[in-house]
Amino acid sequence: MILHEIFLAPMQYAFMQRALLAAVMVGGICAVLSCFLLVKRWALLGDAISHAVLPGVALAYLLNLPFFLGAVVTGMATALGISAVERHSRIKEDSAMGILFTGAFALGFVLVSRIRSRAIDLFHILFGNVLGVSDTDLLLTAATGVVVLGVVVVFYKELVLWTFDPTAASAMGVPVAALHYTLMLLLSVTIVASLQAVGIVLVVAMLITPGATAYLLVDRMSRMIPLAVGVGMISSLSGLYLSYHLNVASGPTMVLVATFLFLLAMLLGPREGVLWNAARRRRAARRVALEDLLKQAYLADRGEGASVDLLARRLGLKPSAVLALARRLAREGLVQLGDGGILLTARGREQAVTLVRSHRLWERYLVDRGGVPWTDVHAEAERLEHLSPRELAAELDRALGRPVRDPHGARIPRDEREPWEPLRRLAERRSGETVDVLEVEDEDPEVLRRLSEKGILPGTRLEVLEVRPEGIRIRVDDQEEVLDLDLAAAVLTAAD
Amino acid sequence: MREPAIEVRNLTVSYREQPAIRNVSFQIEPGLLVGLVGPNGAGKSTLLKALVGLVVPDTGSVRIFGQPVPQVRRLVAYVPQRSEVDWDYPIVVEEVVLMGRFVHLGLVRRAGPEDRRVAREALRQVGMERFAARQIGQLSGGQQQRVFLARALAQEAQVLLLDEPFVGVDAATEETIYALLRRLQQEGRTVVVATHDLSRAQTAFDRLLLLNQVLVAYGPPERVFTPALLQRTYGGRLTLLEVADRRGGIQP
Repeated sequence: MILHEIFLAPMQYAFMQRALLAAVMVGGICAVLSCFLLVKRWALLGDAISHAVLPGVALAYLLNLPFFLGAVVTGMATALGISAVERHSRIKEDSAMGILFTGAFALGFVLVSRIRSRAIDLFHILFGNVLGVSDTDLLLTAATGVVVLGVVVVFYKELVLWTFDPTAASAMGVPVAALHYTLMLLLSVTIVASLQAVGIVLVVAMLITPGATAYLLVDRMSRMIPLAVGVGMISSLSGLYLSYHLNVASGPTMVLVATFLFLLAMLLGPREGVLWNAARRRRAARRVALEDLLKQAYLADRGEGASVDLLARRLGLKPSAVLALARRLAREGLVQLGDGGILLTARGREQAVTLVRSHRLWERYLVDRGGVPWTDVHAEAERLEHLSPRELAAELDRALGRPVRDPHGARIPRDEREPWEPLRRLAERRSGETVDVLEVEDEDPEVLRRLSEKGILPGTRLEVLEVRPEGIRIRVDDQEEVLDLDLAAAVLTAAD
Repeated sequence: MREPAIEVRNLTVSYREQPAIRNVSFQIEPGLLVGLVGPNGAGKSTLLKALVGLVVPDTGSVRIFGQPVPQVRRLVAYVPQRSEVDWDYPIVVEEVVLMGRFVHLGLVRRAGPEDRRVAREALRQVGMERFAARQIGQLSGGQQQRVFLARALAQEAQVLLLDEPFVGVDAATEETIYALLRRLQQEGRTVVVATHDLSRAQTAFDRLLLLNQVLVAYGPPERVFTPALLQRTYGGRLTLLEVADRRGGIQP
């Protein structure tokens, strides 16, 4: 009953039946062309031609010729004029279009205002009057549809070759100039045939939007065209029904439905859908944050658990954020939350070691094979460690000849059973001690640069001369240097 | 003596009154891998385009296997510069390769099973059969070049013209493409490659064509890859002829 109300009741009127037929045909024809306009970047040419038919309609009225003829002639003339301006001057295509179509449109307006007749309803020409479609209009639209479809079906191979690779197409002997003008002519004819249904302003939308919608969803022309036709027809059909039931203008409603479908494809499209992409990115970012926390908890842990505050400082996060991430890790069975902070489970330790291992292997690889300075590899390895499955780490290990240490001297752990290397910070050393630098902390490239300037690298032997509150005086390679405590804290020495 | 694969006589081509190449003449024997080298703006693309009839010469003629270009289109394949192709085009690899069959099909006729077989075989030859259903923009620069070479193979062309195929591909891919071009040459095809990169030119090609608006030299690398000739090709862009032209332009 309701279905009857919605779909069949409007059809009791002959004008609605004609409107429906016209709208669906126009939607389909425009959609076929929209696919080629999109790849040819001719969207604005459709706009230009559609405005340029106005003087043709007025002239045809004055000369008592069919509207159709006048409209096609001025539409084509403008299209050709655009090419001519582009070829014979330094003006580029976009400006050439802007100049000529506004000129033609203005001429049309002037003529129509001079005529002052009821035979030309400017509003209907601009925005369409699908409810006033006559049998002649229908016939004209149908004939246009047959011609457009016929040309596209017969010359499909040529059209694709020309729009994809015009240079090779003409090298192969494809008649590219003929195709160029044929497509222009089809465009003009289609625009004129769509006048009654959607008007010259809105036909532009039907010539762009369905093709663009389909383009977001599939990756080959042979599927894009039928999909665009479907989108175009559905837009016209549902637009017409909506306008009938809401009692609003039909042409704009059809365009609104088409726009809505486009936005839907943009948001939900499987390949480039904005929503999916955002969700994918969010998931990936969350995974990175979780893995970073796991790794830092492992590095800070050394058996007794790492406090949330310490980890928050290390990661540059709020303690509450760290806690939220830690709860998530706990749910995955990777950590336990206790009084002492975050304690890794056996499985958590295993994953953390995998991360540390691939981080350090990547640093080694970037320095040894990529020629990246050792001061700068940390940040890149920080990114790569999250993208490296275990097999890739194994391959890196093999390719590098099973390195023991990363470029900053840190041990590359084989597995989670490997014991901690006993280390003491240089800042905690006493005067008179001779120590070996095993490792330098690698987070800050500036610290690394300053250390290497002073000749303090992994493997360097140095003598602590004096420890004072403002710094530590050392001898390295028979030269005396003073390190402030920040710098000294970044140097890790072998515990004796 | 065999007919030259490419024969160019007194070729001059201008864009908007500006000559791009002038008075170029040379003959390329069949079955050679030829490097067309010269700086940017030397007219390399213009020359290649003239060889496939894409630009109308002011003077001179081009013959392929002794025939004017329009009669031998199917024998000549042109691989455009990367920048001339819309990589977002909704088309997949096998459709691109199938385009090569156009010269055999002509207008209107559709590709049949035999054309598809040839296209698949061409893809296999360049090692890209696994990517047949991939959209063209999702490939790396080197893979894209291989697809376009497959199109030339599907065309069963005897003369291949490549415009700057090494722009935007990494060194390893460059090796693969050179190896592929060498194989095509060994199968008897004539291959002309425009490149502004001199580093490989000396060893990679059988002949070098040095171009800077005029033909500086054509011959085996050991003869033409000399400091003097390279200086004339790359150094001092202002040739005497140009100076003369400018003088002529100033006079009323």
